[in-house]
Amino acid sequence: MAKRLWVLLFVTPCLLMFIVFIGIPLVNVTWTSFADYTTFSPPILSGLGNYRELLHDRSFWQAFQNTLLWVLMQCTVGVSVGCIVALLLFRKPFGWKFFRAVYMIPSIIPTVATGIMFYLLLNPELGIIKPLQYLAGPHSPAINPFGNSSYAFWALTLTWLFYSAVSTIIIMAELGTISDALLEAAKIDGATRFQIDLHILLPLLRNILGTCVILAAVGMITQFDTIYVTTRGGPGSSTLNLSVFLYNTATLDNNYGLANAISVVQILVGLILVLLIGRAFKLGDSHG
Amino acid sequence: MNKISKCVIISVICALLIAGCSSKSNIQTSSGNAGGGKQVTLNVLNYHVGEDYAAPFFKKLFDEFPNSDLGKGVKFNLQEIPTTDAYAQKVKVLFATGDLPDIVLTTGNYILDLAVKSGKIADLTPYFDADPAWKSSFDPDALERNSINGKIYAVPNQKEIAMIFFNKALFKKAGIEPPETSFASWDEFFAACDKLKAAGITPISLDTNDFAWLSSMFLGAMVGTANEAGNQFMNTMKPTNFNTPEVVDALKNLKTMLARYTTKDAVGGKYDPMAAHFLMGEVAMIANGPWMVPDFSNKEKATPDLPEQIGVMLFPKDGMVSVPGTGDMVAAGDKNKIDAAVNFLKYETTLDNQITSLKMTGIIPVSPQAVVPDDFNKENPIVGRMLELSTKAKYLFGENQANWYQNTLDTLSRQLPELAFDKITPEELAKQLEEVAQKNK
Repeated sequence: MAKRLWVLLFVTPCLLMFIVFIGIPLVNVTWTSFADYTTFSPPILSGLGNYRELLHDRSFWQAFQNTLLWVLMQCTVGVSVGCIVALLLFRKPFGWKFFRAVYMIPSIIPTVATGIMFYLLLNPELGIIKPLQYLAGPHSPAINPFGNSSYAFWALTLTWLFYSAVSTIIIMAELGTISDALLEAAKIDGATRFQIDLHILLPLLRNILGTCVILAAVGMITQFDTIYVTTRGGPGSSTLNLSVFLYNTATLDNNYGLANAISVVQILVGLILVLLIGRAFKLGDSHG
Repeated sequence: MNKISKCVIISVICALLIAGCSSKSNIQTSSGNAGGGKQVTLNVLNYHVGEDYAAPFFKKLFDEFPNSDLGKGVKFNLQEIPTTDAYAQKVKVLFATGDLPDIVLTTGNYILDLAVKSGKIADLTPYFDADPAWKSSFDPDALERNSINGKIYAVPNQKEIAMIFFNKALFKKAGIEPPETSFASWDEFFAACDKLKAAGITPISLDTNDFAWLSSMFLGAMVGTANEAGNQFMNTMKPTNFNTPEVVDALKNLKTMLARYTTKDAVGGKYDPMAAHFLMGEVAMIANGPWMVPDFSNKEKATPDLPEQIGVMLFPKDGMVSVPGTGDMVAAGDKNKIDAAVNFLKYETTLDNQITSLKMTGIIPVSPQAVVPDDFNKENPIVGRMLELSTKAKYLFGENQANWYQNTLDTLSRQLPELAFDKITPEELAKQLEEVAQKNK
């Protein structure tokens, strides 16, 4: 009985904080997503009007598509890069500690600063792209990647896709827990390094890879600042994602009801993805 | 441990948490009541901070007001928020939550109708009626702009004007004789752009990001000088009819300007790097207001010889942006605070402070009674020339950043690159602007 009380005591502050800072806002967001609610007027219930409006909004579908594409790329390419770097560093090649620290730097820099940095680096008048364009010929057409809808999506993707230091660090920590005896046994049996990575290490990393994929997916669903400081979702809607679309709807259209409907969709997408990824990686199951 | 003990412990934890959350508001309340009820603390959210062009002027106002006759017993609880954009978004959120500062400083963007609709700002008409001298110091158009249904809800503190700055040395190099007041037509203007381009000089600084301020200036000027209908359109608050011949023609011209007459980074570019091209003497013309003048002599931003090279002209056909500014609002609840807030706005708009503001920031006085001293033109020749030119303008029009719905500005900003790269036609863009404007509730 005393043990139960102590559990209750320790849980209560967290539970209260969750209710105050997550639970109540979540309930608010959900019910006002069914309301006619603007910045300057209180919410009045209006049924499914906001969701119907979303279904017929081309920008919403563009934002939805871009968000899913970025999630897919980050979960596959991004996590794979992080995993490959972790496996390479696990072999402790010359200078591996230095490389690990350097690879971590982009993750330490605030994402807003990274966005501005790339925005300036790829500026055809000021950035490193200028001499490259001269190499293509002094009269070659200048390209501002963030100003052309043919390139903006990929220019933005470039700012985050290959910097998976968080995945690398998490995977390296997991690699450190794998018994040396297992690896030694594989070597004695004649397994090559690649075979060890593929048939021993990767299966053992399944749980942590699932975690990395979930983190990558959630990170991409909530991605906002880099897009906001570089393109604000443009040109056209080429770099619009759900977060920026939500922000624009709330602050530019002043339509809180519709913005909250977008956030409910965003939350649902996140939950579904987390569930699917959890199932795909059989998270929580023991290695076997 | 029995049930009562458990309840007590849990209650204590809850009370501690709640107390922790509310401690800040207690401190603020007590400072607000200091002085036995005579002291008034005004909460102000100030975005004129850091590098903002008006930061020194507003600092002076906030420092000196409590020592003035109007400001006796008033204290400020200033919260700083850098950049106009961040402030504008924050204020909107505060309108929704009801936690507004006592004085809502204007950003130039027109939100008065929505603010009045919210019922959270004070009707200032009785204060104007009680002080006829103060009321008569304002241009009636300025008060009209800050009124809804005959009631005044905001105090205007500036008149916004904008025209074209040009680099005399680059004009000379291209063999262009600067016009007396402006190019007689847009065709003449574009002919001058061709001459500049032929001389290897980029004619105009333009941008497309962050609401496309520089491009918007030219777009508005082309619409505003097109004809009577265009001029009326540019003087309309929150227009929703964009699919007009004047707007479509102006978009066609803007497309040409983005494709031919500007820097390589203009499409997708933000204001600061684009303004830097002009400040570094790389571009011949830029459209802007007098608030840009201090930048011309800022050695960290501009070439040392730039101030001597700056000329000013009106937009082609003697056009000029001229808007009585949207004013500061009062959102204070209790009478003492409203009185103190109005007193601050009175202090801000005294004739002396309007002239001080002109000297420190280049902001044009909103009051026709504010007499510009003779020595001002000598000390500030560029702003002096702007004031002189402003009396010769034939077409006066508003600027879209103040008059249009924000989602319309955002759409324009995001679609201009598509227009420049032929991915959307001017007609399609005009239609899109109309659709977006009509989405506003």
